[in-house]
Amino acid sequence: MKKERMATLGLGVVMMGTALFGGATVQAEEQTNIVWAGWSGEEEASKPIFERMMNAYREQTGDEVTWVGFTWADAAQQLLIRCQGGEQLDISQADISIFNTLVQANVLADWNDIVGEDFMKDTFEESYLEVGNIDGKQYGMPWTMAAITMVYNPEILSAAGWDEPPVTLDEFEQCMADIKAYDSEIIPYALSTKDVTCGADFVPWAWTFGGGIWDEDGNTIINNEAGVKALDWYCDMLNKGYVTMDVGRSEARQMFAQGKVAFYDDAVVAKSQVISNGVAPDDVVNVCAAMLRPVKNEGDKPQAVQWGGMLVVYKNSEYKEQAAELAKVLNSDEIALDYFINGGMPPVTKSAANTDTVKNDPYINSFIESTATARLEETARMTNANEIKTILTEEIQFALLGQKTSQEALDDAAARIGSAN
Amino acid sequence: MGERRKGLTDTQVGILLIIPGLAIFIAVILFPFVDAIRMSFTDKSMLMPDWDYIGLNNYRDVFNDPYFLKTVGTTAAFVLASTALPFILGLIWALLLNQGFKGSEFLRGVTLVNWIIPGTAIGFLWSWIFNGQYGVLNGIIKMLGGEGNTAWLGQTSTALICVVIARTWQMLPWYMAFLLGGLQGVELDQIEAARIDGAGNWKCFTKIVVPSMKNIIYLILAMGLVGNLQHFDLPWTMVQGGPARATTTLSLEVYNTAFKNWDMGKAATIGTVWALLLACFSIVYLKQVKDSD
Amino acid sequence: MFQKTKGFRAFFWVSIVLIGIFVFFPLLWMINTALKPTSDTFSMAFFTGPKTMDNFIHIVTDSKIMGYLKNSLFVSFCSSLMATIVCSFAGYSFAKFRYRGRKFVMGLFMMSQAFPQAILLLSIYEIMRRLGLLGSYWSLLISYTVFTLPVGTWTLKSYFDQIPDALIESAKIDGAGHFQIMRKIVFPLAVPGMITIAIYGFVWSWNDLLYSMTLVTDNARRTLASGLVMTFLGMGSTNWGYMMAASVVAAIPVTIIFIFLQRYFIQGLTSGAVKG
Repeated sequence: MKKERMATLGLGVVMMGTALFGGATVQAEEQTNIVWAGWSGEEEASKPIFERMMNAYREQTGDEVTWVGFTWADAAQQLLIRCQGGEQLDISQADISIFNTLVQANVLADWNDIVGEDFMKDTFEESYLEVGNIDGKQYGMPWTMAAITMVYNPEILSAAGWDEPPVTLDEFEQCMADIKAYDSEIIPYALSTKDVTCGADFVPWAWTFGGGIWDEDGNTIINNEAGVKALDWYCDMLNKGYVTMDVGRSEARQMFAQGKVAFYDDAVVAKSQVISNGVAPDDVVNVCAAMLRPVKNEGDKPQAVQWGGMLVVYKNSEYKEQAAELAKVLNSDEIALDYFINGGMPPVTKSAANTDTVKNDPYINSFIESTATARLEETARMTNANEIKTILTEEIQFALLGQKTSQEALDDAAARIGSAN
Repeated sequence: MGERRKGLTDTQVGILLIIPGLAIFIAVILFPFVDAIRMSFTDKSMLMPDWDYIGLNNYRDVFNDPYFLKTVGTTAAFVLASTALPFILGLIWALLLNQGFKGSEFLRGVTLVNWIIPGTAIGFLWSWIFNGQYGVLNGIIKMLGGEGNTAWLGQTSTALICVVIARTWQMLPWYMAFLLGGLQGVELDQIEAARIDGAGNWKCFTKIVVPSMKNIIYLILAMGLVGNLQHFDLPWTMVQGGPARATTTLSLEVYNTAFKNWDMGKAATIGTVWALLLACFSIVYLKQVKDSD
Repeated sequence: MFQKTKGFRAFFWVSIVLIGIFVFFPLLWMINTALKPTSDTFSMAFFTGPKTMDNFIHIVTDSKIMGYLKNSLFVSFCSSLMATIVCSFAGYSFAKFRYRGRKFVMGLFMMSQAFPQAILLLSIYEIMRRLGLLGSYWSLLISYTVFTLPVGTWTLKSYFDQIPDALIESAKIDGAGHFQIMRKIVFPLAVPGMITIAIYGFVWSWNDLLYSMTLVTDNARRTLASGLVMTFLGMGSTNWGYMMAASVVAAIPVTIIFIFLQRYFIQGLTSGAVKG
């Protein structure tokens, strides 16, 4: 009995200890403390940059800002839960994949009402503003406009005998074959074959083959001849060992940064991932460069997906003014250039885009060139973008794993997309 | 305190004592359950505050969903495999440790560590072991001279098995603990007596050990089945239900429908159907409770 | 229990080696990776290559992850305490009192884990939102306590069943009130069972991902399970060394408690099992 009692005592002591321990997290709030939410500040590569951003805000305004972070995949869900739960949420980042969801949930405020239309027009290019404008309301403030294109490793390519990246699909296939022959340990193309990035990355390839998810009248055309060809091509690449299963954006980035991948799809952040893996910023161009997505026939328009990181302010925020201050700090030249140099995010303000730093950067120039023709992602204006991309991913996987033919898989995808709307 | 309550009858005290449990049961289980059934007849979305009753539309959608049966099948396969496997291994492990050799106490303690590592960390660990590009398993196969380039988590044929293995690893200690508890209760004189009658180890095990642990075996199997039916962490962190829906269980499907596709009405419908399927199972479960009462 | 025949010996050694590898190798690999410098993360060296504490230092000095750990400990202790109290009351009530509906309520409790948690979540989310508890620990504590009801009441009931009625009766004759009897006689006898349930409740909330991910969104209040997902399952390249170090660090506090209490845990299950 004595032993039991000792154990209970011990348990009690530990419990009380923890209670005090945990209780100590209550913090005093004196200044205005705004909540800034998102995912980029949660990623190892960008953490220090985000610290500097928040410190700049603290210094300039004397107010406090708290970061609430989650993964990109959970962002929309976590933001909505916070809004509906009435927890403080003033400003967050929102990219194209979740922007419209937030707009439809009616939780965002119009930036024009807060900072004035003139400020917005004076600061940003019209084309950037358009991405964040829905039905005349400026819900999104441009922050990191970019496009998803293809990234390659020049060192690997030249070792395999390619001094220039391939231009057509035939060249691309030949290049992958050469890389495979050069070093079988290298994955020629880290194509996304899982999670929503798989469905999302399929779309520009469908475009390349002349297809898409919907036509101009809104009919689902994912299962047309072009789509089926694109998926057949996917299966062919898998059979030849150019791409592999169980790769998502995260794995692709990781392996690319380690020099184990020759090509993959990404936005400009590719650079920061490589830097955080120990490559000096000046040497990035040697192992990470952007290229135009290969085209079917020479002379075709290369496809890229318009991507945009925006800042959004919340309707129920009590501190919209302070949130606007933070947004201005984030888009100030100094901070924007820091994010550009160390994170690879091209600035969106007119003034920062005209600085020599940006103009003379070879890396970003190749990116800007390759994204000049970018199209808005097809699901970007849908509320259930995630659902549609998940459907695509699942059906693509069925085809890749040989459980359905490309035609069957895309027919099923079309049927499911049709009933999901 | 005792003085003040002296006036209460036994019955009153008894009822008073179950009130805390009953109150939270009603708040967190019963009411939400009834509410979810109601929600299954609506088009409630996480994005919109307004909703309407839409009759049986959600049920029609669920039953027309070409993958619903597959999801149920996947769930059943996952539940059965990840209950049976850790149970068998846990039983063997418990029998061995119960032999009381040198270091068995230590082994018993260390085994329990697996159970207390957060499920998410277990998911990370095993998704790394099974990773197709740089996974540990492929590394070992390579060292033994094999190809070692199988994407274990990227194939429909192996993904679910991988998740079951990870789940087995996580739950083996739990079964072991309960079964060790049960083994302590086996009466050794009965075994001695059987031995004198010429019974071997196997006969002792099947005729005496197992029957005397009958109740605890029922209990942990029931708990294990139900726990696996609810299980979310490992398929979620390891493969997010993929590839090609190979690891999408009902639990993931409900979560995705509600919190990724925002369709709370449909999510509630899937949950309700699931509860109906479960009802059959619960009858067995309840019978077991009755027997042990 | 078994005779050491040749067959048994073979079975013993084969099983102990195979299951032993299965149980311990991943655990060791986790520690192994956590000790490797980042450049070696993907090497197959098994405790042979260079070692570093960098990953652990990174995790231990990361205030966010330490915060998650602290939150998890706090939530788990509170819900373990709540679970023990609620289950003790209910278990005692079921064991020693006779009233109408007793079996029915007990049946309900036993089914607590059978209701699909993912759909309960939908309404719990709504209820907590309306009560203003979304994002607070109460929503988690209440949910976790309910899910320990089946094992909790079952185990403790079998403890209380073993206490002779005569003991309680004689205390009553001596003038002790109901709550005095509980405090002085009944509960002390069930301490091993209570420890078992405390541990069980602790591990339940320690492990939960679904509820903590949905009911709490604040970094400052996030628990470890969802914190790890939010930190390591992002789009950025995953640092496996940090991840494994974080997993090891996460396991340490509970392991320490376990080392002291595991005997009671199994003992508690034993007494329950004997009766059950």
